[in-house]
Amino acid sequence: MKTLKKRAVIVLSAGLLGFLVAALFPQLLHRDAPPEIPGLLWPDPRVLSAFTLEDQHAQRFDLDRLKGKWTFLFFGYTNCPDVCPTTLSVLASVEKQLKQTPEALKNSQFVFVSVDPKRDTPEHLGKYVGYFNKDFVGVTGPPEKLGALTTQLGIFYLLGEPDAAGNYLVDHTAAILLTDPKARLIGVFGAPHDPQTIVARFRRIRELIEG
Amino acid sequence: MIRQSWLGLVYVILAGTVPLNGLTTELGIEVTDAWVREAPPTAPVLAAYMTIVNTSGHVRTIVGAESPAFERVEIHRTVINQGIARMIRQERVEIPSGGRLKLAPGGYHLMLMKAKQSLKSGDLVDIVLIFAGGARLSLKAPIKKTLDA
Repeated sequence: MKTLKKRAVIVLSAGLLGFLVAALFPQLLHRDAPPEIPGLLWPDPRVLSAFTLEDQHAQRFDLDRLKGKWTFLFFGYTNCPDVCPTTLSVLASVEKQLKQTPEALKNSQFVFVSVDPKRDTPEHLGKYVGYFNKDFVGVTGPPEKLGALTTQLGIFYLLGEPDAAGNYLVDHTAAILLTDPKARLIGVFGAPHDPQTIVARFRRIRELIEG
Repeated sequence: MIRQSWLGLVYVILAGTVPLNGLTTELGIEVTDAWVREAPPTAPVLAAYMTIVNTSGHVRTIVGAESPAFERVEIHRTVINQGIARMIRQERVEIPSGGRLKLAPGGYHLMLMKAKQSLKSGDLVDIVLIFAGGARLSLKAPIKKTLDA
């Protein structure tokens, strides 16, 4: 009889202790549940591996350029009349809104990667992105070097057949990607794009990672 | 058999000569909110957007477009499927009687190719919509920097 009582006391105490711990430290219970931020890739965001491209000033654009910064990446081409200018306008809007809270804009950059190096030379790219925002970065490289980045990010692109005049369209992923200062793919924002939504999600993701 | 094709020929001739004065009453097409997105000086293609309403009692079909400011104009539709953006050329776009077609970013648009001069925000672009049957509708679309603030 006494042993049973003793056991009951132990079990109840353990239960009570567990309850107290859960009540006082709820995050212990939800340790593995990712925060509910749409587009967030968490836990275990993929760390990117090496790639070498060139920016609009013919400077090397590689993994080191992603480290230490929050980077918005968008893939397209300058002969694109609709999706690319629309998305770059959205990103220009995002930058403008983030400017209102400098902390959120600190160490961030906006990069447009052209998947059409044949027509989009670095100089051409510079003029193009510069139109949307003077700080935007334009990046490209030959197909095999582009592949090193697009493949690991899951970016799709397909050059179309040229018409009689040599014009061609390019199908491409419409999402905006986000990498963190550790060069990890941390976010994917699908189209259609809205600046307010992107700003809100970016702020929350940044808060989550930086604390 | 022969009589039928003669009738057909007569119908085609009549349709081709429908007068174009008072476009709203005959063709029954109203175009509003037309604009062209200003693009960087280097971009050889621009997009035109607008709302087209068919107030007539018949289906109206756009089969092409032209602009004196561009070498070529095509009708396209952006389709984002499984996250991938594609532009699909439209040979013809039907607007049912009483229907409206909205050309907007991320959807239908006129692709204006190879500008003949540099165009800036505020400039007006002449665009002609060509309908099945031969009717042509001229409009002017202002170049605008962007629709979102």
